[in-house]
Amino acid sequence: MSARGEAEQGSETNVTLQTSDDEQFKVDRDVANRSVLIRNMLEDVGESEQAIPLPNVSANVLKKVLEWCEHHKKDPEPLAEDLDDNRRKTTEISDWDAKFIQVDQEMLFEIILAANYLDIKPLLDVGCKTVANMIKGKQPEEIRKLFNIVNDFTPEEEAQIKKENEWAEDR
Amino acid sequence: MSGGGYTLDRMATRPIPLEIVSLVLDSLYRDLDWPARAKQGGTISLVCRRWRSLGKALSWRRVDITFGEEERAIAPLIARPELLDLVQGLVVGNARDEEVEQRSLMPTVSELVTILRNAKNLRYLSLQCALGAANLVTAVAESPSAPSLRTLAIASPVMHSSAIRGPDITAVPVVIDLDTFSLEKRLAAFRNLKHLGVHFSVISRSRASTRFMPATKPLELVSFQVCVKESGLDDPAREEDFAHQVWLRLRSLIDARTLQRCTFDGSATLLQGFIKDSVHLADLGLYTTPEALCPNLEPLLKALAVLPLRQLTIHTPKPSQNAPLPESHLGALQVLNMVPSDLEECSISVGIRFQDDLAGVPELSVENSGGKVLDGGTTGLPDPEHFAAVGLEVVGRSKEVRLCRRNGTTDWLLLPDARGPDGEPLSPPAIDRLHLASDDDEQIEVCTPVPSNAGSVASTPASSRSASPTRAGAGSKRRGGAGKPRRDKTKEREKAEAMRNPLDPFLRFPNVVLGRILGELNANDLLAVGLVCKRWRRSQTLNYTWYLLLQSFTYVTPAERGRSYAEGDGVPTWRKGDASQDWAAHFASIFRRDDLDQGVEEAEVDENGLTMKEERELKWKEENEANELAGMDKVAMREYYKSLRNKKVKGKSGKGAVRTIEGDGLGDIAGDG
Repeated sequence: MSARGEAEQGSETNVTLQTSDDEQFKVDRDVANRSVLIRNMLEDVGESEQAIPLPNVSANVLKKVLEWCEHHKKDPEPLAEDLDDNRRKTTEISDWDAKFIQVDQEMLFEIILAANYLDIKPLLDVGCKTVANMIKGKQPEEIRKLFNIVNDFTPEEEAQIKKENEWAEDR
Repeated sequence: MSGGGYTLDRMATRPIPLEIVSLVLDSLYRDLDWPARAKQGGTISLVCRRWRSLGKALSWRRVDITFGEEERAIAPLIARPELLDLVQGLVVGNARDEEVEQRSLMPTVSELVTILRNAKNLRYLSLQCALGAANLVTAVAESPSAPSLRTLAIASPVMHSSAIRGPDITAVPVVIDLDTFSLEKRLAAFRNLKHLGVHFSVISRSRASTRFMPATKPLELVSFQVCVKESGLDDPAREEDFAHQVWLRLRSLIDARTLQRCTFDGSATLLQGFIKDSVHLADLGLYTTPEALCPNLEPLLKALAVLPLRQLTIHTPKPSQNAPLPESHLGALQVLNMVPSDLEECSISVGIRFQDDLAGVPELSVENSGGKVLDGGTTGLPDPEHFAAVGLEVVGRSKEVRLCRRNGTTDWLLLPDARGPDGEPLSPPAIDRLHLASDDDEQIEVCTPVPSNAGSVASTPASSRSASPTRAGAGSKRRGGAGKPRRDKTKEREKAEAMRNPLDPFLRFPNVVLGRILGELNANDLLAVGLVCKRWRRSQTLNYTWYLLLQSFTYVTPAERGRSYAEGDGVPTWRKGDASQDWAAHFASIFRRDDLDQGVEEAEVDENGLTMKEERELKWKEENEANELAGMDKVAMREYYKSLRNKKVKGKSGKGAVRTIEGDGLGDIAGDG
């Protein structure tokens, strides 16, 4: 609970971020700090007027990501997990996040990729959980349809895999 | 709608990037329990070829096996050994609610032993089973997984979150016979173990004379959870003596200096010296008796005061339900008053765990490795009625617990809904927060105010700067290990070559830089790199990249992969045992098999193209030859060949004679028909 105390100090400074399509965003340092990538970069570089280039993120995606960061800027740091078999239940998606993530599939993917690149774990979780929920309980054919995937198995191969999967089916 | 032509192009040709699928499946892995996870993996593997390996890995990354239930995961693991390479975690448990004839489970145990012996990539093993645990530990200690294992839990859950604290009192301890089971030797085989949890019930016939060799290289654990009890001796003095001896043996295994979390169930006397060495201990849970705690309380607190402790939990059971709080308990209560003033930042929680269904734990007859039948019984389990924290009375599951001051003393006491003489609930000013959790786990957390001058120390959570000593140690080890005498010549020659070719990245760049470059490449590129020249091919940096790539397909996120190269995350993931393996071949065997199973033509036109074909031809050369000679179906022949190789069979057989099979895969095979 006391771990966040120090972040307050930096809240007055602004940080400029530059997207792949050369747009610039000026944000609170608090907001930018949600990204571990940016935070580490700022720690390494120190105070600087220069814009931080984010070549993997385009403006419309960054705008969306920053919207999330802004809303979650006061959240406590996620606990560092054990690196080993860090299986833990993902937390439920909050109402705000659920609404936030109601975007078309392309944007959803872009957000996930950006969260991964910028190292924003909670946002990555939200994105992945959303896609995971789309997959859960669906048959392979439904999943193919969902993600526009061509079935490249021959019927024989499909039968073979089904046979291999039998052990895990309902008992 | 999305910006950038790059994105749109990719979306058109690749509907959902594999990278995202990988991330999503990671989320599914965390979210789903067995066997739903396995089933979901099966569905995923049916979607398309590119998803297949991912689905398989989701199914097999962590396997849960429960004794006494109809078990279906074991058979495929034995029939298809390549699946075993995907298994990183294995949980073995008992079915709790049924009466199971122990003897009927013995075949399952022996199958498990086979599986564990052959597992290469196990990182997490949890044996929540009384039956055969000693055999299973032995099997994995002798397996190729032993050096890679990072978590071992024997009848005791190793905790990964602060949500669960304290020993699992419903666990049935594993019976270990020290006469037949060399505890230190077995555990010392897990050289890179980080988390160890043991809940032992130890016996020994020759306990006085049992000797042991202290481990030469102690385990550098991060967390350690131990509970040793019930040796079956009647005499309390001998019992204590015996517990002491067992503890010394365990103690000799562990380097206390690396420890960050420790849960100890037993006499506080034993812990004394250990705590003194545990200079990084941040979280201590002590579960003990009032009798053992009180005489040792003061030295214990003194020892604790110099540690960077953030969490302290002390439990002692209450002697009986109606007895008044004995004097000895009051001593324990001092912990609440004394420790906070000595520590910079400390939250003390006094928790109580009990479970209503405890009565449902069946009595078990346990057969241990020595063949003796012991009555494990429920004697080791604390009675929930009598299990209460110091000074804390919880009546039933009531949440109406109040903190109050005990009359005439300075001790805090927690009582149900207690009120002062004026009817007001009492709340001492020093306590910031009183938090009552619900569910099975009633926990009361008492946070003391942080002194204002402690800000700088407290600002970074201790966990975020964990484990750096081990990394530094491993780094130097790696360099030291390479400095074998033989290498001098090679070094000179390579130096000479470097002079000649300043453009060769393998010569010019340090491993870290080269690794980052290789880390950017996909499997096809890496194959090409491996074909450039012999020196490139045998590069450990390349091998490591394959290793990481394989890891990433078994759900290490790309971000983690990058981090491994960039700065490391505190714990080395690459060890000697790993370095000696050919990870390119591992990769090929896991991923290519899928295509090979589909038949020859399909595989040829695969996106991986020629290099893969060459790899495969090299790898399966023998099969092809044998195949032609015997005129067998390719797939069947390979399965047959594999089974031969595993058993190291020599001589004739019904399907064709095998003269020699060399470990390097270059042995010649000829049919005699």
